[in-house]
Amino acid sequence: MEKQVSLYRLFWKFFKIGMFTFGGGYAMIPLIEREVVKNNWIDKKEIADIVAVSQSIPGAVAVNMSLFTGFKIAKKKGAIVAVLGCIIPSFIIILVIAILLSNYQDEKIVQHAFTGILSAVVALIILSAVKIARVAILDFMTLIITIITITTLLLGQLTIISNALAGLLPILLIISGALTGLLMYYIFPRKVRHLFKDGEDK
Amino acid sequence: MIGLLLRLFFTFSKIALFNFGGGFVMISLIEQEMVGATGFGLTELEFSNIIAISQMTPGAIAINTATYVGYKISGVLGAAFATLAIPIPSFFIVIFISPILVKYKEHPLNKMIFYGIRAVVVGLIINAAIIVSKTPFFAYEDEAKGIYSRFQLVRIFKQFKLPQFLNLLNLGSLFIFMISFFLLIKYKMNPIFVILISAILGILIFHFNV
Repeated sequence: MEKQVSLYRLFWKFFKIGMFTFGGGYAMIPLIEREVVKNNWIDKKEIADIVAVSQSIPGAVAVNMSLFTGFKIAKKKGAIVAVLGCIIPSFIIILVIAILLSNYQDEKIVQHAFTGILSAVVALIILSAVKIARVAILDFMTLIITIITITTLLLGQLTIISNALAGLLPILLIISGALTGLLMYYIFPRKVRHLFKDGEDK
Repeated sequence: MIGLLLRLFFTFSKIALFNFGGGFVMISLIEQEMVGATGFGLTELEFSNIIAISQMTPGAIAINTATYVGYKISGVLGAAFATLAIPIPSFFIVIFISPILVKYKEHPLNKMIFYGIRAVVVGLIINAAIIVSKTPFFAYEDEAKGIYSRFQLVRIFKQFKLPQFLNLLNLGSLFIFMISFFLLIKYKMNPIFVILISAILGILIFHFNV
């Protein structure tokens, strides 16, 4: 599979995807997949791994996917070239918008449009929470974890604990979530056995 | 100056290190650092607007947000520091941790870690919805400031003044929220079009008082 791919070409492929894909990182996944398959850069089984792992490691999915794909194609250089291709369009577009909008953002009509947009964004966020909840809330324990997370974050906002601690709260919750998963495995192995049987069926 | 740039880098590298489950989780992760005097000094309104623009523009939402916040705080150099804070830590994660994950993707411990994390992620996204909803749902009641601050809302919450709280609620926004939800679920409409429609509705309802 060792194929010489021009770094310049790699850059432009990712640049185009970064430039024209609306809807965030998840919308970019199928487009990157298609480019890679079309150009025969990586074999199909490996692409499946890349997609799965890019979503499970932390960070922006599009960034992880560009790094991973680029790395598979042309090692560290490939990773750097691909990720730059992916983020440079965003960087330029946002800078232009930020500079243009700074003149108009105090206009009432602009702010009214934003109030409308933000109302829709709340709907988008709730929808994304529902989608993830479907695969995340699998049993009583996961439901409890979700409820504890929300309660802790709300208490953090209402009581106005020191900002440094409040900023750490989401991170502490994520780490506790991971630890809870591990503890469940060792303390109640029978309660989580269903998770693995499901996996084997697929 | 250097201190501020490093702080930007540090704040956004949290996304690279702890952001599981998509762009919205990021809102919960960075909000505390963004808003108010102890943060980078953005107002809640500015922060919400940045979130909205990052949704509407092409590219990864996290990158868009980082560039915008970085620019607001410290110009083009700030934008560069905040933006690069995401791919640089991820570069090392992809190169050193991904091969291990590929190898052990079916390992029970790997599955159990994400069993716990995904449940937390649902909570973080709901929290993000609450953070973002404060701006549209409680805006324009205080004409002088344009928006109620978090502290005022907290005070009203604490006094259990439900009628006053309901009074603050912006019914126009609630209406746009429900329309958007309906279009997204019932017609599976592309989010970009939903956002465009909601912008037009916002102008009609709030600007021309239709």
